[in-house]
Amino acid sequence: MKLKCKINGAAIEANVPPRMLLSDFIRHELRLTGTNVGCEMGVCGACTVIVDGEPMRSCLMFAVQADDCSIRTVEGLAPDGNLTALQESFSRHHALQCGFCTPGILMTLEALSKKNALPSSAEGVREVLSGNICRCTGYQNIVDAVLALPR
Amino acid sequence: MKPAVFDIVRPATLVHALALLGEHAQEAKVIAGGQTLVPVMNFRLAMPRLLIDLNTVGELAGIRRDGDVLRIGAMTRQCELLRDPLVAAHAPLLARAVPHIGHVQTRSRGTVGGSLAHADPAAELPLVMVALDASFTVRSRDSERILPARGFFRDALSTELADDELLTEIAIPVAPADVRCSFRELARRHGDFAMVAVAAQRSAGGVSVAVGGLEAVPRYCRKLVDAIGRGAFNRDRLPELIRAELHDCVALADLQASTEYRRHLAGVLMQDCLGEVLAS
Repeated sequence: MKLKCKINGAAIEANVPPRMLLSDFIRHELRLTGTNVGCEMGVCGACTVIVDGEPMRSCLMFAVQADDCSIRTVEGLAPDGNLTALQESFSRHHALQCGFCTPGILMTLEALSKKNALPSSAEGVREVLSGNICRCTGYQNIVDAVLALPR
Repeated sequence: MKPAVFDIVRPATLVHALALLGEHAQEAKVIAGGQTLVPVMNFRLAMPRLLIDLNTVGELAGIRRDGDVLRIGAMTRQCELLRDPLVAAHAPLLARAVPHIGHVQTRSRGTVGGSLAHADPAAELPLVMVALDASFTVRSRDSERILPARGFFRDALSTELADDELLTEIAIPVAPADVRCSFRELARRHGDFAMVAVAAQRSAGGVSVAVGGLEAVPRYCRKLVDAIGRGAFNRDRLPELIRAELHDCVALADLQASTEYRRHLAGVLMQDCLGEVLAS
């Protein structure tokens, strides 16, 4: 099936089978392997990308459903190598260890940040990140990194 | 964990979607947000031959006020319920419940109609619709009918929808200005399906209470509502009335909670919710 979309600003045209998940299209066809796949059942949040401004789980969408959509992946955050404020803050606060969950977390927060909807309390940050599972950090440094951002 | 082979059609209009559903009712499955259907397909617990994708049917999304009801298109994303001022103003109980549905990333794709048609016993939206006495517009290629939420849910994951029917719109009575509402649920982690959830609201027009996660379908607590509604209601009698309401209830049991524990939880949350809305 024909698929036309934008990924990180670049126009993409492809022919994909209906059953191909958006996560697999991004990783296997486009070779953008920053988007990770953890559970493929919508629980872990590692595959979160931004579709038309909203954070979504790319393992719970078929690639063909992204037709006419504009998608951002973690590779689109710092195309010229200059980290975003969020990425800088993650680095400064040591908000990751193995880094597997980090792209999903960054994209969730990026989408909220663009809407000026980043929470300003620790509890609020934990709530918006409840759909992103991290098994290394215990979340504390992630929460610190988010709270340190200017609002 | 990849879905089996299927075909997908992406109709642009409701008429086309209904025609496709009428023609392929046996082998087709309708996909709305897909936040339940896609994982189930990834596990091959469902292997539909054809998906009818409603994400391209723009006319099914949107929230508007129509006289004394709030009309919500079935494909309205759950996150829109939190953003739309009409929901906050006219269905505050619904607005209270939405943050408990899944996570930011599933609410942005998951739809109102999808959750209702799926009818998970512990889902928040069916519970709220029962509490609010909402009604559902259900259409097929050749027919249209209006069903009350309180009669829509048949059993766990089972509704009054026929194979060729589509839930298209939800109508919620606009809440009176003096409304007070409360929504409480207990889940192991934020965003999980509730073990038990309770929705209650009260205005001069009366009280409404419903419990979700307790039985196969949301329980509208008619006995309790009637007892509270009768003139000389004394709040001290609430524990006794809640016990009477739950007297015949055979609660669900699973690894998270036994029958007894669920029923106990329901009583505690009902007491809390009613305490909140009945407080003078």
